[in-house]
Amino acid sequence: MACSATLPRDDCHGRSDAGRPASGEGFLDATRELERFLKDVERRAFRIAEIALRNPDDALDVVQEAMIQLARSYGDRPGEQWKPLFYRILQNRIHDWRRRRQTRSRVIAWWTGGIAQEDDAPDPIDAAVSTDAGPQERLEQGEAMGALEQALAALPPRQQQVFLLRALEGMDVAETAAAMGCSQGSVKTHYFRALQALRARLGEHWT
Amino acid sequence: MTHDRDPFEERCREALAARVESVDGHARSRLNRARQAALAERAASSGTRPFRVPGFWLPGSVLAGAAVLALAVWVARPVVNPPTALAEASALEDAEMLSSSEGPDLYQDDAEFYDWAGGDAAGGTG
Repeated sequence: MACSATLPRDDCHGRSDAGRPASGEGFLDATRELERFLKDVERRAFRIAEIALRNPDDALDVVQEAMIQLARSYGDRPGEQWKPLFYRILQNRIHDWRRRRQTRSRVIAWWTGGIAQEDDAPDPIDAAVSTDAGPQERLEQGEAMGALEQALAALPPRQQQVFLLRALEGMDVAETAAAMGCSQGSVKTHYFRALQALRARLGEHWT
Repeated sequence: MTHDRDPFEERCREALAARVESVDGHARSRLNRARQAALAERAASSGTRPFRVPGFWLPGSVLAGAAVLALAVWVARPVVNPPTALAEASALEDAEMLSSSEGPDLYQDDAEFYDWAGGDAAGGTG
């Protein structure tokens, strides 16, 4: 069930040899096509990263890194390959970001002798889970979106990833599997479980 | 793969779509800059940074190819065999003789002298 979070092998070596020829006009056409693609996905990518990281500035940094890596390593690939590649890069960046944040939190905790400091903000994801206001209450207050985002933030990373790629980016099962580097069966399972968890947290009245 | 989504799922999608539409100006600006940075990176990393000439763009690879071709032509040009040291000395000697103020008769006289001297020595006269 575990999905590979690694990029294709040629990611480490820059452009693949399956690229398109870089003639003058061809280069400009491809650049314009890439710009259209990035413009199309950037806001959704930002929201996905923001939900995952619970921090808009971190999300913007991660999206920028993903854009740059796509352009640098896969800019010569055919346009139809960009979406799964871009989201795979983005998810890896998010994963790295979370890991760094966890490491930093551990170091800070060790440095301070394990005593919780008021200045040391807990992991935002944990904070989202342990919020005082329950989803039901938030819905009643008209903060439906906030409740949904918190419920999404509480999902395990892979479930969250599958749900956002499908529900927010609009990918089908096959595209999502390509973006995550796992089987379509895994995507279906993660998506089903994510829906169950969200329904349990938000309540049937969401409908 | 078309199947009827349940209302809960549909509502989640609508809420997320609305959230995407509400990205604020600051984030949009940052995203725009990120996009431009990515496109600049592509031009830099592809090695085809366009070179502007009046009327159209030439990619760097075309210019590099032209430079390599010119170098190849220069290296492969026909070359004349280098003259040997002996031939060089001979040519210098010839030039010296031709430019000398003394006439060729001088050398002719010397030849006669050496011929006479040699014959004289062999004959034992003197």
